Amino acid sequence: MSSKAQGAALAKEDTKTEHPLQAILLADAWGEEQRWGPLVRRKRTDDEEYEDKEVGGEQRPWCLLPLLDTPLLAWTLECLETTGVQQVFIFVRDGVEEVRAWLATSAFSLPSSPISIVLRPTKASTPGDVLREVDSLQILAPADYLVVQAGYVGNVDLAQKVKDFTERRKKDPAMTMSCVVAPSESRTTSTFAIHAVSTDAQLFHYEQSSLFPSLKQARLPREAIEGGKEIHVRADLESIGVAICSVEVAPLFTENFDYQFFYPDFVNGLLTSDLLGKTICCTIIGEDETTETQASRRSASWAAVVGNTRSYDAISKAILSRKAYPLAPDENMPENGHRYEQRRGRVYYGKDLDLSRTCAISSTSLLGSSVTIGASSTITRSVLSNSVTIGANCRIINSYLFAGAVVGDGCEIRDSVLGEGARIETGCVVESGSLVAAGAVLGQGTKLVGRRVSLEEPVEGDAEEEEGILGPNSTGYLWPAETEVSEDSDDDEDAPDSRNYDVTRLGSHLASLSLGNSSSSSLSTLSRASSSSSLASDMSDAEATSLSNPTDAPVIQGLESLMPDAPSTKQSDFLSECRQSLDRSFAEGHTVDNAAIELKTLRMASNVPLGEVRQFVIPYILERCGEGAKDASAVLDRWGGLVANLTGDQEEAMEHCLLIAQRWIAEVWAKESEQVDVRFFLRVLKGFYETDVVTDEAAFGWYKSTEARSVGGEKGRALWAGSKPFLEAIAEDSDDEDDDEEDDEDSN
Amino acid sequence: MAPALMQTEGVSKPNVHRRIEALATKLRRRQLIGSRQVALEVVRLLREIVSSAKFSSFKQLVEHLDEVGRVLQDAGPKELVVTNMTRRIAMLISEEYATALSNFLADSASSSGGATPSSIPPTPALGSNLDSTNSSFFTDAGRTRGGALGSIFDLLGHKTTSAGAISTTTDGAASTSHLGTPSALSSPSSSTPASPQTHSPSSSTILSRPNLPMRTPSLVSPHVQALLEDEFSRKSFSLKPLFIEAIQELMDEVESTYRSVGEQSIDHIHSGEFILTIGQSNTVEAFLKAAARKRKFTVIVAETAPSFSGRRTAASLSASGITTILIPDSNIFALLPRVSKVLLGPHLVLADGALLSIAGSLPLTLAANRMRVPVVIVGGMFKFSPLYLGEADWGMRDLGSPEEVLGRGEGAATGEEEEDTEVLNPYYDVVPAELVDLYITNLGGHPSSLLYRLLSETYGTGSS
Repeated sequence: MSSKAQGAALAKEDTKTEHPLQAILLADAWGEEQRWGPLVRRKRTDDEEYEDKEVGGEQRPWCLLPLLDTPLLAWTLECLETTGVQQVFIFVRDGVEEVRAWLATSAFSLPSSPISIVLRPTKASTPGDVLREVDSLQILAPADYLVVQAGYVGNVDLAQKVKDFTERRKKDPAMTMSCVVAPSESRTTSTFAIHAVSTDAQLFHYEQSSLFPSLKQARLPREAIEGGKEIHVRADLESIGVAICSVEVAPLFTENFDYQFFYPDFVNGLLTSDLLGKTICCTIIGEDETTETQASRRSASWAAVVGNTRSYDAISKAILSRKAYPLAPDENMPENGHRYEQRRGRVYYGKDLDLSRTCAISSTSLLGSSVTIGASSTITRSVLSNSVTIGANCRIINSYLFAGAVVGDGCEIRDSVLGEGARIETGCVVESGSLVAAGAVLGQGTKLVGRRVSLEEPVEGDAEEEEGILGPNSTGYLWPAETEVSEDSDDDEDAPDSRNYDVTRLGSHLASLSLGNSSSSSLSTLSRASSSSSLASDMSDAEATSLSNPTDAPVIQGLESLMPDAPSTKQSDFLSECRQSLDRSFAEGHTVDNAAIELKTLRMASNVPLGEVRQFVIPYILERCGEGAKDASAVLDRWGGLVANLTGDQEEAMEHCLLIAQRWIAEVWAKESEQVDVRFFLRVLKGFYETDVVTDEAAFGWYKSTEARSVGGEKGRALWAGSKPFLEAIAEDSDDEDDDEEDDEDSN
Repeated sequence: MAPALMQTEGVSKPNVHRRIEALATKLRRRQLIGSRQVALEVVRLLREIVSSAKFSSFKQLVEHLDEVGRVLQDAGPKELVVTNMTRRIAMLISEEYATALSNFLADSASSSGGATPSSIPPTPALGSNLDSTNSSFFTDAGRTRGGALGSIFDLLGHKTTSAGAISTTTDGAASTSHLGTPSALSSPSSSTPASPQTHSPSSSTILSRPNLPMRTPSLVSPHVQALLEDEFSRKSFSLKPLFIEAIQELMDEVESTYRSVGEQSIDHIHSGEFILTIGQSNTVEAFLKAAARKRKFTVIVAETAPSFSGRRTAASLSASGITTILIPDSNIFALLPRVSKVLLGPHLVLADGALLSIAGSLPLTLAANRMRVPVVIVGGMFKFSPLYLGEADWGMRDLGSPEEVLGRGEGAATGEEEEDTEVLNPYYDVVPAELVDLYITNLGGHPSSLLYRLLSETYGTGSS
């Protein structure tokens, strides 16, 4: 079906000047599926590929996870169809067959459906890969399109937003992309971002940080505040999984093969690059409503994207409280699904319920059809899918029970998710974010606190059977506690703070993590409150150590940002990354070119001026000279080119290099060797000269400058004086090989 | 989930089915809102269905229309206008059919009886025939109306009460008398006593559907007549132009609602009056603007939180030169004593005369009732539904997004996700009939006690 539909669509495009609105739908969760434990298909370890046999958990891809008894993908497709998207390309990496099978039975594949869907299996492991694939496939019409993450739910008129963006692009052709963001309602992600947005919604600066440790300072680039524009620096905006892209986006991803995600890779790449000259704007949901049209008279815009269990919870509640109106259980469910009956207090009933007279269903709950609830049970803020059976005297609070789950008498289920057909025997307690896989059975009296139970063995293997947790006659394995499992976090942090993990889990009761509203000053009020005092004290310990020896060699990322006088996180990040990069280059013997490219990339990424790179690199290389003069020739011979790359053929820069070397030898090296090592300096000069770090003119320029005489105090002056013969030599005969001569002179 | 297959699917072509589904989807997604818009779309669709339908008997066609109506109503359960329109159309074409059938039977009877085949003038014969059997369908207002009722209707300024616009005879006396409307207004108590529910307490609807096979005078033996009827039914295909014409007339009626309601405004609005309205209704605006051409009066508009649609009304009215005062909702009670009339444009009028009207209407009408300020409803006939609202139909209030009441971030005072404030945003209020004094439609003014007549004339009596 796919190729045919695509062909037909393409043929249509040729004849029409008006292009259909297209969307790229990313069906994978890019790591979030790991948070769902045994409830969805996922990689068992970080290294494994998605091969069917090795994939753990249930054989359900993440995008088919039921949200209010309807797969996530259906919600997203419904939202796209409602907004007028005509063509969707779904890129699926995992569970292609399942998605295809589901799609075939869904209402979206009916001939009457106004949306044409093309399913594309892909090997892409990041959104960046998908966009590169899109670029190479050339499947998009030359018009603005949407990139949407599966799990997006909202009642926003995206088609209108795309139109607005197209209009904007006509005025400002450099505009490349619009980030669709919304003020966050409750914190559901482990990161937050700082957006510096002008009043006309152009984005000038973007910075992302994890919550723990959190960014304490943000530095705005000077260009952002040039021209007297009004800039709002906001920390309350978060992405809702949608980006409006111009045709340039996909090629940009191809050109910059290291862009993996829209945030922060792509956005930062575009914003910090002066070469590309591209700009980005923001579409802020709920704030940029311009003209109230008659059609939208009754819907305040709302949108969000499902990721981890916490956002799943928040979005379920939001839909039940009708924020996504008219996408509400009693109005319009995806796929023309069956309607629920709305009762007072945001409670929705399906058909054929069997409710005991003494059971109580309160506040923001949904009961699917054929649900049975026993006497004196209470259901609060929970979603019970079709055919769930609850015994007597149960308490179900803030939990999600998938279709066919059975709960025995006297159980308490709190802040947890039970998979399809899971059976909980009498007297169990399941709470604090526990996940029970489909079909698992918890025996009588089991008490689960934040644990996961699956029918498959835990992959770590070393999880010894903890006797007594699972009651008798249980089927299923207890997995190690969630926080113990190494997390596959999307950024390469050395040690992800476990609190980042906690805040994004269903049922965590951290104190208010709400962020202040839209001003840079509110950044300082970012709450660091945490649930347990032990974590807080860990934190302060770490802070203390980092303060006591701030120049400790191995820079621990993140700690830097906590230091009050750290110049800026960006720079310290840069320095530590620079060091790592150079360490690697020296240890693994990279070529000068490769090392130079790596440095350049780092520099571009953090927007550091060349001078600072030189400040760092030259001392680093000189440090490597071991015993000074003896090794200097060899080292500089090998690595001098790297420094040469940093001068940009500018005389000033070359002089700067010499000054740095001079200062370093005068101040740092002299401290160790307790004498003015003129010989070392001459070797360095020579090395620089030979590897084209400095030219004749630059050397003379340095010699004549007043700084050269004053740098490094007395010792520096001695070095300056000592270099005179060398300079005379090159002045006399610049094309002669006067090296030997020099050496002789030195040894005298 | 695939849409339920229709039993009479074969009647319409696939492309028509696609249009039905498209309209159903629009209704389901609430992309089509507003009674008039919905009514027009439904009538337009049904016209197309009838004009392209293939049916072997008339019964089949009506069943098909009925089914389409059900599909659409299921898709948009809160736009009851869908049912209003499908019922009206089913009734209109049944009338056409009955006319033609009795005509045919009379013809065949006269020819079989050996009489001269010269055609009897059709309309009078038909009228007299049916008046005796099924009077509700072919009520000729002047003839069947009881004296007392007739006089009230006259007082209220009726033009014509025959529901189907096909009535060829016009009762001159009924159509021209416009006197005495103020008298009806000044005595609101006259409208309250009769609770319409007593007329059909057993069923939730006044009628299920107009009953189809018309009984005709037994000029021929029942057996022969049944055969003849069958034969005619099969040939009913040829009546399509008549059906389409009837539907077109309904469409014209809906389209010209604003004008025909506006024409009556002079009778109800007087110079120097203070009129209070709430929300935004095109009918109300048309009504006021029509009156403003001849009279000078003042309109007080409540801003109508949280949609603030009253603001648009105020802007629109003052743009056309009407003295307008915009007030916050909280001032309604204080200002009501100064007001001489409350004017509402409801979303829907239920069978018992209760209104489904924008949120805020109930407190307004209650206050008006207390202050003895007459409450006047304006709306086209298409808004009058033959349905009652069930007791537990909480959802009919059409609860919208809470974000309109409490915006994003405003409610996030507490980080603890203990039960947060439950924010409700119902779009409609249900206003009971006893709070309403007068209903002004495109046919004229009616007190709530006579609504049942209006409905039975419009939709026929199903229970007979």
